[in-house]
Amino acid sequence: MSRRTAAEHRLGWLLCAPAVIAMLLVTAWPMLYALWLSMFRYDLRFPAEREFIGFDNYLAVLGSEVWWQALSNTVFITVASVAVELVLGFVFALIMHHAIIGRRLVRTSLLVPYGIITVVAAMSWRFAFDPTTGFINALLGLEGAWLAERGSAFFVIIQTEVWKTTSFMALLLLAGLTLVPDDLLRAARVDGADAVQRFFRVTLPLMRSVIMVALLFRTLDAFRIFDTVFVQTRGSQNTESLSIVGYNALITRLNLGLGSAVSVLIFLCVLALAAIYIKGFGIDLSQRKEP
Amino acid sequence: MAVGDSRLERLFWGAGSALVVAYALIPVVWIVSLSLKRSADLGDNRFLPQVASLEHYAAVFDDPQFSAALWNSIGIAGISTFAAVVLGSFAAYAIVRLQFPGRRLILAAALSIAMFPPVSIIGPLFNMWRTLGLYDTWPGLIIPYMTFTLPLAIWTLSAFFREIPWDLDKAARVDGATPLQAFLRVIVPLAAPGVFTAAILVFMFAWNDFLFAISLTSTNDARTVPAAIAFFTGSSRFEQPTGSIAAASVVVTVPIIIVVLLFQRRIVAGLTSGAVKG
Amino acid sequence: MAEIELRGVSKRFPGITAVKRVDFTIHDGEFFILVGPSGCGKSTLLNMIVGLEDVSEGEIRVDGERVDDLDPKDRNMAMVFQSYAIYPHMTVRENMAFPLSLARMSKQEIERRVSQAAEILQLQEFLDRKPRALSGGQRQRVAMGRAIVREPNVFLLDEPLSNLDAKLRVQMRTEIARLQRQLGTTTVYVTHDQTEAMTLGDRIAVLRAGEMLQIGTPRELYERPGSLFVAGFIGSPAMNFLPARWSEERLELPIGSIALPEQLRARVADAEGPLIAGFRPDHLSVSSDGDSERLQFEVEADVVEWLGADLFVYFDVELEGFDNLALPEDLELEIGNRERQSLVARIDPAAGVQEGNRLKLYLAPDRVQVFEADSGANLLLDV
Ligand SMILES: Nc1ncnc2c1ncn2[C@@H]1O[C@H](COP(=O)(O)OP(=O)(O)O)[C@@H](O)[C@H]1O
Ligand SMILES: [Mg+2]
Repeated sequence: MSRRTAAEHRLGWLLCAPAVIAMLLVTAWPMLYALWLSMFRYDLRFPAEREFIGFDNYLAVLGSEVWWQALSNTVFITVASVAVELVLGFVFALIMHHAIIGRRLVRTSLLVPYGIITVVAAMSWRFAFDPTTGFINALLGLEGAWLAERGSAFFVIIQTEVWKTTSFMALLLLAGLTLVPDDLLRAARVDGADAVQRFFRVTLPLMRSVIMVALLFRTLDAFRIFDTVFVQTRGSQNTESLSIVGYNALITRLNLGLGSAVSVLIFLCVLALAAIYIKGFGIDLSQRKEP
Repeated sequence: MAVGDSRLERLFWGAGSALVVAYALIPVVWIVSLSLKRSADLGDNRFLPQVASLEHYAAVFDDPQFSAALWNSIGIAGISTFAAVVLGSFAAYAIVRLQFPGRRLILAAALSIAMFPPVSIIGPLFNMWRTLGLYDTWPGLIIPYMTFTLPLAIWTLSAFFREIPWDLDKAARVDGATPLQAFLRVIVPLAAPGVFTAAILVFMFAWNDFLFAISLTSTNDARTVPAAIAFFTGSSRFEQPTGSIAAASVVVTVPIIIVVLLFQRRIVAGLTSGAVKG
Repeated sequence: MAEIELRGVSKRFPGITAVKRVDFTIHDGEFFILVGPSGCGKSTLLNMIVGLEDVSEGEIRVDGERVDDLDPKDRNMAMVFQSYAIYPHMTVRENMAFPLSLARMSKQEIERRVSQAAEILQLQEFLDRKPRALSGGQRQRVAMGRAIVREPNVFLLDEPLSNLDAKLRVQMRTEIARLQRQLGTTTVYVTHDQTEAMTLGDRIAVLRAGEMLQIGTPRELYERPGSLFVAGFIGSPAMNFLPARWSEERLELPIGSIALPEQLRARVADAEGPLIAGFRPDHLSVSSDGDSERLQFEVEADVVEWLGADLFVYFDVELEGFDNLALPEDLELEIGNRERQSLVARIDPAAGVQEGNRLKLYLAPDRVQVFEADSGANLLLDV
């Protein structure tokens, strides 16, 4: 190794060190700590009773109705909102791609939901669906309290998520659309493909990797849903998400032992999801980002 | 532009655009309208206020809880952004420009943190911060914000840095510049837009966070706006805080809308840079 | 002014040796060309000369002083990049002034040199524009301007014309040649285009896969190529190749047999493996010019290209009974298959040949080069 090469390695590590150390200290270390805590009976309200109990906390969590309910709620919210976002995102992206005059305006408007604070978005929709303050019941001629019933509460939550995040999906997909060469679509047209065939047989396959990346990020993000549920129902009407369960155990009830078991389990779920996407659908994220 | 649209098609896409704009903006208009209604009109079920009044804004700005939260939000998000962008730039520069073992590993690590569920570490952080005296302080939030935005910063910056024609760096060296001069006089001016974009995205993340904010703070010392809004009690105990919440929401949304209007091109480029290339 | 000397210079990248023990000297004031197919290590070699890459082995001297441990800024060389590498955030004037201001030159001196360079390159009216408002040719000139304002010891140009369209390329080529003659600065010019190499260079070095194959004047390379690769790479249209064999003291080709001068016979007879004969399109003619020694053969014109001053006649030769012709793949000459080989003759347009015509062609035996197919060595070259 020449003098300059060695110096280059050293400089590279030196420049990356602060970021890497920060990331390790604030994620890996607490994660290990959570693993450790999850092996204890440890309730901050009764600190004296702290005691090593092995995997009992996990057994308690996995044996509880609440966990499974929250898991199925979370999966439902994730699947429903990501599916709607993908379809709607495609529609929006196509509109932006085709709109000649309003393209900039549409793009700017879509950035508003992206930029707005989730809590504010959740509040706005909560007030909109509220029977006393809202305009939606008046608009539709309905009476009911949307957030007071499980089904309609899910509808409001999912619709808020969709509103907030479709723009991200649409902007990614639009960028993907612009990567499809026009000449290819012209060629397909000459070859006799109609608009629908062109979309499904040329555009869509070429956008596969962009779609997969967008889906991966959105799925993992939706799976962590917390703000919207917290603001709109706080988990009542049986709408608790996993993050809400974790928050309640850790921060509301200060049960660090049990709560940490929930944390670790959520982490494992996310890991599994990421693995499914990356292995199962063959997304190679490191490849695409390499210089 | 799409291939061969007829006039009818163009009309169709135009109408579509209008619908998209309406869908995106209705909740924003709605919260503005709510914030302008008089307290008595809050239950009138109308989309627009009958009479515009600024009473809720006056109330919100009179509320020490909200001013404190606004100040906390600005300070905490600002400092986190600065720290994340500085550290992120170092790392991204090294990853793009230098040959050293472990570059891929760092990118992969950053990526896994981008997917990391924050709820998994709020318990340990809560406990550690109480021991270290960071609970309910600015650094207590700045540290997790900086960390969780580092991946975003590193990925966006690497994507931007990769676009810089690095021949220019060589050219500057041949033109007689030292490595430092080449960096300051050629690379920095070219990298600035990318750094700025990364800063906007990071700031938006920190400004938006709710989970850390309610888990790691308890008082006006460090509570940020999203947390304050969720726990608003209104100016008096007997009043519904709807109007105040709406006014506070508008106040924190305005800066974001301005940033979006001014820098939409950059934001879109930053959002899509990582996912679309290659 | 500067003489550049490379001794045993190698460059290893992880997994590839880009330059292999290269030795040569570039004389003071010379226009020196590095030519070779893409990926052969030309840029790497240039980068080592200017100091952008370390040498893995060997040494580089300028006027006898070792420079290979010096930073680029201490070598006083100027470089023009293929991408031009013009600073997009600076105006044309600022771009040209940049190296001078780094050298802490006075304002007046900078101003004087920039306007002088701008005049030479006809850039006066663009001085206050940003690069993005310039055409390709103008950007190219800005890059040249930034190089000449410094009055450096050496100019290094890495494929400076390859991003221009054909017409502009020819125009800039003559401009560069004139500029170099005017300034008399030692110049190293990298290209993969043999025409550029032939027209510009005082001397040319042919590189292939990191190895230096031959160094010489354009004429030497054209007339006395040291190897099959150089023979095929230099010259346009490329040299004609045919399989050959040594039999009964004569060289047999699919188009007839020729005698070789006495002193060369032994060398050809001792050669290992199959032989390849080569001759240039311009060495074929439609008349014997009274030379009875010439090999005479009849062909059918397959395609005829009339270019005004030249007439190119393409024709096929049957290879019956001869080995396959195995040419180096990186020459990228696709000129035949198992049965036949396509050749070309450059003849007098006055001959008035039409496609499909049969015509007699003559070839002087002393124009034929003979190569060992396996090693690529030219057997007729006195070593
Ligand atoms: N920084 C590098 N790292 C690894 N390999 C390199 C690097 N630069 C060049 N190479 C390799 O060295 C060889 C020569 O490259 P180069 O000098 O750029 O060729 P040329 O300029 O003749 O086209 C190529 O095979 C190239 O892939
Ligand atoms: Mg090159």
